[in-house]
Amino acid sequence: MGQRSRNRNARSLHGRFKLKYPANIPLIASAGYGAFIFSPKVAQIGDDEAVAKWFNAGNDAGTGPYTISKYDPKTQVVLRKFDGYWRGWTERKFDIAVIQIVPDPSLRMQMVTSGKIHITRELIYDDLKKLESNPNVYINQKPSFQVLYLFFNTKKFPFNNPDFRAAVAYAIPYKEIIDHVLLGYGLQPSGIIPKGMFGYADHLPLLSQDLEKAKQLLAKSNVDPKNVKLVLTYLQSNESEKKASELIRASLKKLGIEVELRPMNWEQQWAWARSDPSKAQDMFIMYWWPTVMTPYDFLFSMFHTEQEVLFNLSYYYNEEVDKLMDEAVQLEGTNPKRAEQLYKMVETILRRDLPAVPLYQINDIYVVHRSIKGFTSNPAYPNVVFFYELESGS
Amino acid sequence: MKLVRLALKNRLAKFSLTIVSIFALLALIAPWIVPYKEQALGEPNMAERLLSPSLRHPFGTDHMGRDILSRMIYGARTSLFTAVSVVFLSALIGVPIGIAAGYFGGLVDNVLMRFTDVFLSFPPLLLALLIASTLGKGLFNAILALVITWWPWYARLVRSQALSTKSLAYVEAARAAGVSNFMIMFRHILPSCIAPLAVQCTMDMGSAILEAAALSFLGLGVQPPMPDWGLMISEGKAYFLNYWWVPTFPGLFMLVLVMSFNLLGDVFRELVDPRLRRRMLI
Amino acid sequence: MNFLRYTVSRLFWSIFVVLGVVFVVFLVSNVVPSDPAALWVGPKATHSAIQAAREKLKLDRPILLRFGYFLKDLLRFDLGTSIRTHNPVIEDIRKALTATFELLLLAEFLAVGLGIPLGVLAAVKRNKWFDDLSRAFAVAGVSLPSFWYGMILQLLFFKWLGILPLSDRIDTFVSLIHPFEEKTGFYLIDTLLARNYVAFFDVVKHLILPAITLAAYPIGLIMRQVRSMMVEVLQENYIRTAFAYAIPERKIYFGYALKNAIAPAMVTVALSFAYTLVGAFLVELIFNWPGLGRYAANAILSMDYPAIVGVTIVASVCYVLINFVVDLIQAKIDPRIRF
Repeated sequence: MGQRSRNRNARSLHGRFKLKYPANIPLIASAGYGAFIFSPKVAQIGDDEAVAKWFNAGNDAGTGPYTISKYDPKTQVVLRKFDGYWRGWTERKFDIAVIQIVPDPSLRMQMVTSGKIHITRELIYDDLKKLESNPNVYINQKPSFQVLYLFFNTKKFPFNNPDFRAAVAYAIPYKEIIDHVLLGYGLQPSGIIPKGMFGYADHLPLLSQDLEKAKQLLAKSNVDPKNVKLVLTYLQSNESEKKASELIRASLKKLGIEVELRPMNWEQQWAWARSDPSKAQDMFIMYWWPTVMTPYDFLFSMFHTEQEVLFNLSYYYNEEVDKLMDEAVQLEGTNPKRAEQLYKMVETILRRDLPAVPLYQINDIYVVHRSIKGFTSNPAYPNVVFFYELESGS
Repeated sequence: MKLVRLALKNRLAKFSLTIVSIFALLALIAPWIVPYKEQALGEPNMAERLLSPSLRHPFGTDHMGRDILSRMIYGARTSLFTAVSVVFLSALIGVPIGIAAGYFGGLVDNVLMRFTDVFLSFPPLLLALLIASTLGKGLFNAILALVITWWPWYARLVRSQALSTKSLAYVEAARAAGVSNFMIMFRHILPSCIAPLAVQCTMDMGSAILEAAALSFLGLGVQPPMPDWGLMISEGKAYFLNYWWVPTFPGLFMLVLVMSFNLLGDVFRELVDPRLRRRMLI
Repeated sequence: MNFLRYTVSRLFWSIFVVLGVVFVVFLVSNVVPSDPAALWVGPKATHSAIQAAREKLKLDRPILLRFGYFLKDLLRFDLGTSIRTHNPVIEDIRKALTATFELLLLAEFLAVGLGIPLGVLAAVKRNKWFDDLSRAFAVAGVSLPSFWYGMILQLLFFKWLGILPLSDRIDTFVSLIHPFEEKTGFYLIDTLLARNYVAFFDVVKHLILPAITLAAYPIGLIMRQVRSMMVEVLQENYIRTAFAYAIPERKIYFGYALKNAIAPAMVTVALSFAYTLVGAFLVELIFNWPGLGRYAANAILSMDYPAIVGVTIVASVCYVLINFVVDLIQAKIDPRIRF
């Protein structure tokens, strides 16, 4: 698909790509996953699988500031500085960067406050609140594009009933979750597309808990809560999902609906959802974050008709919605205004049908030890630290 | 029985028995005496999260704002129920098998014992973990997993008892008189097993509570938001460095109860074993 | 001659049992409603990736065939590839095993070193209060939920006193600035071999809390056993005669009584080793110890069945081996056991 041409000047590389449709290339090229540029020598190793295997073994082949010195994917990756990096080095920049897996969030907190580690993420929000007044660390917070969704199984009773879906949607304690689970470290988006991305559904009101309305809708749906026992699956290892799930359960109990909570690991949860929709779980909680910064990434993955279930975990198959989003993505590069309109139309339909609801959009939070200067985060690359930009502060 | 009367003379036994009874009582009347019943059953109270121990909440509140003391008392219910179920069901399966093996001997014994040996060759918790994670989460599956791992021990215990009892004179006489095998096993062999069984069961209550808690700790037993000591400790693990009371008190309760069962079992054992009885009664 | 026959028969029996264990485990972990292909590929999968993984992992073949492949590999000591870590299981286990064994041995050492003297003391002291207290102490040891106990120790020594580390085998900085070669996998030995005293000291610091936590159970077991054996022996006539002859007390206790009480105690020590192997699971989780326990727990929780099978085989082999040794010891010392 792409042709490459080399400029005389060895410092820059020009590429020319022939496309099937006018795609938004700058956006795609800067995607977090899968848009890598590397030396053709590596391509000579073999086919795609061989190359992938070579990289996954811990080899590197790029022009960046660090090389991989030690690679132990389940414990530790050690990066060492590449002396010949074209942007050069100063005294204060770091020679070695260690990325270490520490599974325990409270341990991570202890380590960063004592300076044993310098940067960390995903602490428990309660601990985070305490750290705000801790002089040893500073908290770097930015809105991210990562959203937590609650999917309803539209192929199985009772969620095949649109009124029942709406009843549940209005029973969920959205604000309580933001205030008490996220402790304010996030916000509630009004639609599927996250706030800050174009196409965001600012034309829709936020979903809010309204138990009266929920009860009315439940009555309208003719579903007897006593006949209903729902199963909600969420990620076992995630504290926030756990708390949000418990709050959802407590709220639905007020409607007389019984919910069984099943914490699972990702593979089991997903395997169950992908088996037979008529036997899968009723409610599925899942995070989504984009690979390419476009609404299509969200809408296509989670709400486009699929032949085989992948991530459309409410099994919502609507041709009209498919058409709208497919048209929108093709217009992104050439007519963004129209694309935005189309995306908003999709959001309106999804709000009407409620196959899933967005629970919260988390902030991208890094906790950094005060001895590190120059740290900034980029929410487009949620798990990347640009070590080269960091400087020793003491 | 004679055993109980003897036990009651011992100071340690009296102490342990009192503690066990208190827990049993608490477990039974929990719904009526617990200060925050709804919270104990899982109702969240987010505004009062992670409060340190106070007069209103003697053991503090957990990460969902629920009163820990109330949940601990309810947890006694879950723990005792689980322990009793596991011990009872394991004995129910293991005892007949063990008696049959010991009494009939020969091929029956060989086959049954080889069968139990496979189970006994697993490091105990490992097998329960494996089964529980295959069956799926939940209290019932955890109990099932534990029963599958435990019954061989009872079979073994009872088998050796049956072996020694069956060659006793009165059993021989009964057989000569034509009493059916089943009657002999039921009327003569079984009663001789009661004493060692009683000892084992008492001690196993403690171990059952610990193993069930281990399963809950690993996320395999009781699921949130049910109150259960192992689950409370597991949930508290993420918070304990800054909010020490969340896992500490449930664990303390568990320790006290398990210790009491073990002490009691210890005393029973010494009473049952004639060699040690002399020293006991001094 | 009889003993030899007994040994051999027990050996055959042990092998048979291990095979049974293996089959059960294989069966169990393959009946699961999970998706090993998804685990292999990881999050953000695509259809083609999952299909490729399914083919690679031979998941589309019938189960008996898979068991056949499995046995064939087993004979070559190939335990397959972990679906979670993508490493050969035998490699993962080898690395984890030394970590666990170092902890286990230290804990057993503590248990024996403290348990035996304490047990003797408990048997010897006439004071009823001391007897009760020591008994309570021993019972506490076997009653402690190890995962809770570990947390309490962490709270005390790490959070409030700040003198010991929270978890792991070694401090990252120390391992980077004072590296040492992992020759045996036992860090205590490797650091000494490299004369790396900074690292050695750090490794010791990291071993203390997990070892104490793990030692609680065997200390209780051993103490109880030694105490009750000693009590029994001390009532024997020849001991009373020794006292009558005014032979010094210490000589009686350690010279005569302990010698006879020790043999059954050794059986308990060996058995406690087996129990502690299992206890290591939970302790390793609390202290993030990179050992077999943590590996097994992770494998079970993510249904990584090659790893599960691998760990169970290794653990069961150890267990059966220990029991085999215990059986032999018991046969040697107890004349009542007929061959």
